[in-house]
Amino acid sequence: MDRGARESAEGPLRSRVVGTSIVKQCREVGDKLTLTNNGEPWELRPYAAQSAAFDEATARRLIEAELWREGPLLPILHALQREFGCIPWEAEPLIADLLNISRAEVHGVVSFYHDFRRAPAGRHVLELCRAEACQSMGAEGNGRRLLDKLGIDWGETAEDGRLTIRPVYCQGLCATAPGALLDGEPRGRLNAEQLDALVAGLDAEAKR
Amino acid sequence: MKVFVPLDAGAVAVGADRVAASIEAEAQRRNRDITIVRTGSRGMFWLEPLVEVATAAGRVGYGPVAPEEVASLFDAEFLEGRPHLRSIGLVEEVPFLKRQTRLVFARCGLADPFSLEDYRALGGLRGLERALALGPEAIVAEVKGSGLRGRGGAGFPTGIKWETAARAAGARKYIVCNADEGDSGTFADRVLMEGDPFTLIEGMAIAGIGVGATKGYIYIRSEYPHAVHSMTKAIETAQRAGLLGRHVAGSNYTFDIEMRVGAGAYICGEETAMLESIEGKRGQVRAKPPLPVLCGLFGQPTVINNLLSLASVLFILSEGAQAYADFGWGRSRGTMPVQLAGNVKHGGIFECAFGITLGELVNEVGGGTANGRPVRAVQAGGPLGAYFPPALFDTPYDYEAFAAREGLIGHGGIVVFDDTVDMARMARFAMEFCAHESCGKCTPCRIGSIRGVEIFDCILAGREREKNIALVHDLCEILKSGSLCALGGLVPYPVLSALKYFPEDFGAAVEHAAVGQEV
Repeated sequence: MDRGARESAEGPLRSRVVGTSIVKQCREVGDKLTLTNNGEPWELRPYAAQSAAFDEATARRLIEAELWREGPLLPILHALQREFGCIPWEAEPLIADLLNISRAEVHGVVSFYHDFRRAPAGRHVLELCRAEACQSMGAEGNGRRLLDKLGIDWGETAEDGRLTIRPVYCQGLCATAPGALLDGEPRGRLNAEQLDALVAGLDAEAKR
Repeated sequence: MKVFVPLDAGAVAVGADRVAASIEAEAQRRNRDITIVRTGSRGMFWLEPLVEVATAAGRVGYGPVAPEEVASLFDAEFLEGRPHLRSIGLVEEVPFLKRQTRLVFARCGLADPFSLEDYRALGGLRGLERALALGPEAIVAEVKGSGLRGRGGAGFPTGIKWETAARAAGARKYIVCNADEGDSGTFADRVLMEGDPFTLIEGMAIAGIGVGATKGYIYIRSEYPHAVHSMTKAIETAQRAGLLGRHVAGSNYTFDIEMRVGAGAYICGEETAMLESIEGKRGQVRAKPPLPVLCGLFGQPTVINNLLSLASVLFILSEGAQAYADFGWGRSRGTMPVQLAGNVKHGGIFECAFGITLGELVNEVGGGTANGRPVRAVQAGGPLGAYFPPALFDTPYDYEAFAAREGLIGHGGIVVFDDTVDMARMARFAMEFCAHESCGKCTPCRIGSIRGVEIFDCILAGREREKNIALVHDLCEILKSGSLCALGGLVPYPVLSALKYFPEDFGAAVEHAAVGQEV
């Protein structure tokens, strides 16, 4: 059965990222994605709710703006993520088409790099350094404590959607360790209290 | 009246922007006429935010300054260079700076990084002018004669690389600048790109003319948003000024630079993975041969140089190969911007000639740990570098001397740890990092690193310790000899050095209740 016929019979086939790196095949049925894990059915939120509103015309414009480059794929993906907050699934076939490469190649690149997200992050993104220089100043313990307080793990978003904590390995702030980037702004000498104050500051902002 | 406040991300991270805003507001309130110049960092990060004032005697510094201390600075008449609690006196006289030999970082922190006039006034473009006068062959000969070796870690002679590329046949040649400074404890590339970006542009243009390349790529990590911004601005300025483009500085040589931003993959600092990434592919390592210098980016001859190598070329061209080779010793010529990081009192960039000992760097220059506890270990050369105990602090800073002690200089980073460090955890982290960042192309690295983490979990839990430690040694042998690139090939360095010099941590670790559960 060709792909088109199969899709119309059973809903479109999609691959998606579950957890951090495991790519699984799943099937869209109605507005819900179902996939099985060791025989146990998993229910996931409708995938459309996790990605920013995808707009093909905008995506096409962003892709075409980078086509003059040699090897334009990474600049394209950065541009799309800036616009949509993630790399929407719908963008993959579009990129593949415009670059004349296979969808698998595009997907391979998207899933290779740690920066590219499949769903938009929280309202704030804290990129916390976990590398050796920051570890020498207690970053690992501080980070763990913060994650436990928020009830999330590395790379996850707090339930209220306020904050995503991404692990990164070195931001070149090693002489003012521990370091972090909060929404792209560098922060240094982040001891436990300062880290708490930083996150509490976001709380205050959310309440306003 | 000029007041200098750094715009370096490391300084901004500790409040430089707020200090600058506070100075501006306070000056307005007091009706003082000042100009705030945002400069790069001097590389003395324990003093950041470091505010400098130009006086008749020279530049006087105050640091670290908190935004709320700005009013008191004005009260103390800091604009006249008068004393204050935060005063450090004449900046050039601070021992950390005075003791350095700044060739690469000569201009960093002195002026507005985006002003070409300032750049020229501070000696910029002299290297390029001499290069244009010399012509390609003589440029390559100068670099070869200087003894400059690649500052990215491998230490391959830069001149030989250039010569090979110059002789290689290709429709088009490329210069790729490796600014994917992923090693923990290294930040010299970042500081230079933010504080003196034209240096890199000039270095790349010289390389382009030397090997006959017309296009250059700078590959910067996405973790460095400030450096990306800075280089973008500098490249545009250079293009408008005619330094880049069809006629480099009015000559008949063509050279232009494009920037590429990485996407969070450490492995893209490996040269062939970087090429794949620029080409828009997964950042997977290529098998060598063919060497990139003959068949690199888009299949064309490509010189891939570390940012610091390219920045070193300026001095070599402007002052001559011999002047550069006069610094350093043995086969390690010239200077290295050493980066002191982690738990260190005086963290920052210390550029000096090769030959200084590790102990001098850590204890005398660095001043020991930040919290005053005894130094227990230092990791030199990033996450793939060996851990040295204080007993090996007599090791001279030199490629061969470090290699003889199974360590590496790498990109010049030194991370200091105090006596609370658990070396078994650090060894496990090295494996974990390798597993996280492995490109997956070769089996020893992809699978070996994960097995390594598992074995360490057994060791940390106290299960069959002797047997598992023997297994780690065995695994490290396979990683060393069987990996395609330096990630898998060098990860045994931190692991084996931790085991060798800190064996007590691998026996005592069983007492730590939480060990093995975290992460």
